[in-house]
Amino acid sequence: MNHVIMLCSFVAFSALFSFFHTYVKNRFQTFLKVLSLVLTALFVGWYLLAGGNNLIDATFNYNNPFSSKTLCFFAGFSCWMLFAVTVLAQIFPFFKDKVLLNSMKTFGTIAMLFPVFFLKELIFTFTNSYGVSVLSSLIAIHVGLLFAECIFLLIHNDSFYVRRSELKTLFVFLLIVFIFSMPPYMPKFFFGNVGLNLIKGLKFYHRIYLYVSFIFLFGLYFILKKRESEYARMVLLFISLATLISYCYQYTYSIFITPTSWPLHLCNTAMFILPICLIFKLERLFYFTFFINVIGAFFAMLMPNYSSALAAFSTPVVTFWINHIMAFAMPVLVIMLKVYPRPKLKHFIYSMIVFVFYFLLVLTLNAWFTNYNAGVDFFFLNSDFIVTKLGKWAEDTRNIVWAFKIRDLTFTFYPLYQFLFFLVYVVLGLMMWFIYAWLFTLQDFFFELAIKNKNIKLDELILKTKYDKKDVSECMNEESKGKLVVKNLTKRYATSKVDVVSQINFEINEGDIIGFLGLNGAGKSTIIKCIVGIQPPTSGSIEINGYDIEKQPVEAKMQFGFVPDHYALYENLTGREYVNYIADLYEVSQEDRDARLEKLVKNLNMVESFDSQIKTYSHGMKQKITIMSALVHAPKLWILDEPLTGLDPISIYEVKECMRQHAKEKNIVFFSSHIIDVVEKLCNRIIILNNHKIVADVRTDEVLKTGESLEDFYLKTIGQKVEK
Amino acid sequence: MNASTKTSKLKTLIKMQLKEKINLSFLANKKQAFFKIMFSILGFAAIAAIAYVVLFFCQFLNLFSISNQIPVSVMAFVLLVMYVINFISSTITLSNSLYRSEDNHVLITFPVNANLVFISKLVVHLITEIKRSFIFIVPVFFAYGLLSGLPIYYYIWMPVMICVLAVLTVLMAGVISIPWAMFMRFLDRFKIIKIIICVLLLATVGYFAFVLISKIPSNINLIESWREISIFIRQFLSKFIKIFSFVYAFAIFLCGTVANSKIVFFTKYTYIVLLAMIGLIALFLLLNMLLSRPVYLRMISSSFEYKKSQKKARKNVKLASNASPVLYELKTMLRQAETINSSLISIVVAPIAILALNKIYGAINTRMLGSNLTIAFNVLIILLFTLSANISVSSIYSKEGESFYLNKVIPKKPYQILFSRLAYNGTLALVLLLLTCPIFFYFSTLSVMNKILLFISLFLISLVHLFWSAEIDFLNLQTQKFKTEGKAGINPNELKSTILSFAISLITFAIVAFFLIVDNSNFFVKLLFMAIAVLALRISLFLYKARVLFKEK
Amino acid sequence: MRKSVMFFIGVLFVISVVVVSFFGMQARLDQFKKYISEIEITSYDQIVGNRKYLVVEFIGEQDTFTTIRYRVAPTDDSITSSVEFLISDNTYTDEDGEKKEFASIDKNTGILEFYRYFEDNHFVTITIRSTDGSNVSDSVSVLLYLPAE
Repeated sequence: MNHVIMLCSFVAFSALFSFFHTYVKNRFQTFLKVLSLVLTALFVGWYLLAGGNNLIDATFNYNNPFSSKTLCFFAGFSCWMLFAVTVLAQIFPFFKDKVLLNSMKTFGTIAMLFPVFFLKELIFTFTNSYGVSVLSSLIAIHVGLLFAECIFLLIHNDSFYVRRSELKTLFVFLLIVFIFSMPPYMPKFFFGNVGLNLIKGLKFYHRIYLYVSFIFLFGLYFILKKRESEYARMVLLFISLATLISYCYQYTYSIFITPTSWPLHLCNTAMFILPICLIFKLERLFYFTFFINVIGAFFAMLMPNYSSALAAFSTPVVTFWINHIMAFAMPVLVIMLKVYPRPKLKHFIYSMIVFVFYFLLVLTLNAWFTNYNAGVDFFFLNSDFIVTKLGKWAEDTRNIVWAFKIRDLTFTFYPLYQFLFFLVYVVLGLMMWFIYAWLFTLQDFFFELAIKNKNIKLDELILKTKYDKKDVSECMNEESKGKLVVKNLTKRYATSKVDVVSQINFEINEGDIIGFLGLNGAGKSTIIKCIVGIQPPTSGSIEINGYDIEKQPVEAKMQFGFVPDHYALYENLTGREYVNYIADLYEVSQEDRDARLEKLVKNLNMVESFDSQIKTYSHGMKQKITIMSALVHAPKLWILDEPLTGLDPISIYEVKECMRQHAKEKNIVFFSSHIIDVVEKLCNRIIILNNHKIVADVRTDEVLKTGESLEDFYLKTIGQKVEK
Repeated sequence: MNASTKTSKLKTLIKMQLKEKINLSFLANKKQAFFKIMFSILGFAAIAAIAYVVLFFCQFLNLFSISNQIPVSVMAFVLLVMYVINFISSTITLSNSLYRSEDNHVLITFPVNANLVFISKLVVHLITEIKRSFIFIVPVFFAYGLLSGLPIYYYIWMPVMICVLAVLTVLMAGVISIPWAMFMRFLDRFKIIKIIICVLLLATVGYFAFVLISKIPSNINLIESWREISIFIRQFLSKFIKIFSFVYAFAIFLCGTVANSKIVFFTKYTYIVLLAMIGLIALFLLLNMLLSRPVYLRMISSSFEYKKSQKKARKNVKLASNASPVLYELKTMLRQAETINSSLISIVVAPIAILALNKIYGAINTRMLGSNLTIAFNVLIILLFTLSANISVSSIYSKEGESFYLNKVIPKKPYQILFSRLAYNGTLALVLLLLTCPIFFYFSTLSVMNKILLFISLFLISLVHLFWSAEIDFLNLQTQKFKTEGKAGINPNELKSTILSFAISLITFAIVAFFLIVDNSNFFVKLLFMAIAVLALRISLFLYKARVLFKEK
Repeated sequence: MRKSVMFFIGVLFVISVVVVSFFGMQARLDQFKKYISEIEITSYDQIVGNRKYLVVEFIGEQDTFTTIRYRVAPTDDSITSSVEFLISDNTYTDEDGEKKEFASIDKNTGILEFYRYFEDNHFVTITIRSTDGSNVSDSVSVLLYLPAE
């Protein structure tokens, strides 16, 4: 008979779907929404009727009422699938994401086959009878409705076809659906009565559950972090509704009429508050759970209040953990996934206000309902559960009692204990504020890092694509080979509002000795730092011998030697050891380094001191070591930043000779200096920088041809008067 | 130059030198000043509280006296120990400040009398000494005063007298600093003698340590032998006040004495001690003026350089490009005296401490819980030694100063540059573990496999702290601070690294203790996997941050 | 190594020894044993000076028994077995020169037994002492009295 009811329901709802879809298309979405609400009412109606049926629990023990264990399994599995599709159907009309549609039509259709085929066993599970009753009829109608909806969606949306791009999302989503809609009595079926006495006191199965709570939190975060907040809200809503069904497996109508059974424990309320907040977007209520529930749930997970003699996967234990993992992890996930914005101070204050009201309510209800049921203990305010774990000093706080009578009712309070409890919770809430602030800073930091990392990878990809997909270590731009090419270089420091250098363009060919001139603060050092890779340019590009300094930093750095304005030497090494160390970094062969060092040591007059420790050197000798280390790998480009400062005349001469020799060997020498006489005699080209821009880029001989000295030209260019 | 000019110049010199030593920039900002003062008060209160608790328990257990009081002899002993440590440290610091400080070359060129420079240095040193006294000595005596119910004027009298003691310390150090500076100069010149002395010193310390350890009784029962221990302590205190009667006299001078069940402060002995103090201060002041000052003036104007010997030409050696930074880093560190000194202290003290600890544990007849606790505590102490050697890594990049940025010019990936700096400390951690773990394992009943697993786990945990400290420095470079303050600069990241070392050691201790006591099966395998997982996470995070941020740093 | 770190290690060193000593040691019964603090003989007739005296009369020619009673503090059944009785001045030399006892006491029960060998009164000293190491004792001089015939 139940099958008949189901069939009739299926036909009726199929007809209804077809009617609305064909004739009232513009109202179809509204119809689906209304149907979802009807479905919810129907489900809640029969679920509460069936709830508390011990047979549900008993069904999934080994002494099952069915003829075989397989049937028993399919009965449970049918429940599982029914719950999954129910929640999917409830949220489906309210979200636009295609994954819901794909889930309903593919997974939903296949899943509903189980409740359809095993309807008899399913009904028996909830009613303990194979006959017809109100409850069995409601279940049959529910199954019929859902099946009709799934079949309808399947037919009218390309059957089982799912686009390739949507497959991965669908798979991950269905995994979540599958896991979180599992009824709390299924694990017992799979794992049996394992873990007796190992579920408290941080014993094995207790730890396993704790690990699971963190895996749930971080796992879900990493799965959903790249999705939009609306998608995350949908997934979290599904999870909260599905776990609410599991949590309420023993709830019946009597729960509403027996106030002493109301789920007023903080973590119990969280199970109801979370889906309400996610559906109706109640910010203030949500932030209450965020500041108060999370820490409460965490402590509850550390000190569970179930009996330690239970099996690890028994239904009460599983339900406890579902409840507390949700209360602990869900509010955090909601914020981490940006479903709700990060709390401000005002939200914290609101949550404290709500907490005060909750506390007062629970305090009053405890005192009142104790008259009817001595075991009433909402929020542990009435019993000594918490204090027994803390010691005698805590137990002593309950010795102060305040009781009074109103008519026949006695109201008992423990003022000191309850006040301390309240105070501790407020302090914990405040502590959570600081912990969250720290976690947000961490999250922002990693978020920024992720963006930067993405940009780096993007640059590499662009490079490969632009230059016809070569390996990143190859010379990308053959046109820039043998040159230093700076294009549209602009640099602005993070703390500055103006560009330090702006739209710098120049190209230097091999054989050139370039003098880089400008006033202090003009931007010379900045440009040099950008070329050598110390500072990243804000925009523009720099290519050294065909390698881009930004995108191919390692390869580009092999092309030049740099002599900075302040040396950085390992003072405890000898000169020889230091230069050999640099030569190792540039992978200079033994023969090459022997030949070059012999020449350089002689030319720079360092024969006697080369094997002494650098800390015994004078300034000039240290500068020479720096020069040697910049030339040991015979770089194409030699960059020097004010190399002659503080040197004696002989050393200056030696350095200039090195520069001339280097340029003669068809290399580039690029150096900045304030000594114009040296620049005039040494360089064949000068670049003048003024007010963050290049104001002159001329050949030295062209300037001198005009009869003007380089000094006059320089002063004229930077706008200084020349007095004769 | 009249007296007021001299005074004003002296004030300027003192202010200038103080600004270098003590960062007073917070005074400019009211909020910062408030927090700084609050933290200082909190620190004072914390030390006082700890001292109070310790003294309270000693009093409660009648450790020092049958009567319910802490006798003044205990405070005399504390005072002597603190004074000796302070005096040695003060002598070395003052010697460096007077004769080896680089600011001498600058100060002597100022238009001030060289005597004023000398006096200013003494005054600056005195101020830092007084500051140091308020960090430890004063809070401890403050706690003693609270516990013993001393009168209110004690809390004014005591800090003032400790400041007077600081004056005496500085003046004595000023005199002793001359021979000390000469001796150090001699050792600098003849490095081989320095090395020999160091080795002899270490060998002596090691020998005496072993002798002491071998005297540990083979059966210790604190509960049963509690009475004997307290009698021994009381006898020791009686002998102490006989031998160091002047220290005892000063302690009474400071804390008062009991007469007719009352505490009395100002007796005739008070005035005698006070006169003696003043006499000593006057004497040492005179000695400083007559001896130290002329020597100072002569020494600062002489060169510390000496003719260096000609070095033999060596060959160029090529090393593999990836191994070269690591090897040269090791070479550089091994040639730095302060690095070697610091490492040697750890290398000598750690195994001795572990040996003493295990000898004591071996003498206690432990049950299962006790055996597990001994393993856990061994892990804790070994880790504390090993991780504390890593703390210097939290300034490994900052101490290069502005030169750190030149590392970006090197054609290597960021992690190769950053990781190569960690070679020395990583090696040191391994050496420390190789020295301490075998001692612990010798006394332990763990199986061979578990010992190997534990050793590897401890090494991996030390690497976790190493990389974490390096990352702390990398993300918060203090190159500017090191550029201006040089070697004297303290990287605030070191505080973070120190706290981290304590936290990691304590957490590991808690995990080891918990799992050994609660659930022993395959624990060491689990510990190894945990260590591998945490290390992998740490390194990957560091690599990730280095890759992304190195260019911008 | 920094001073703060060395200090912290030193403190933990001491704490570890204390913790292992107090929590990790093998539990020994005698650690928790109660020691006798006081012992007092209650079987006496009078106290002269600070000596207790008990008079026991011979009845006829029979051997006479009496029990020396006592009190211990703290009162605990488990420690009553930590006492023993001693007797002195209870020997005589017979015609053969052999030393013999005329009075004896059961060292555990305190039952004093004596027989008539002599013709006049005689004192014996009974001492009760603790055997648990607390070293407390008490004594009584027992006068063996021959009534006038």
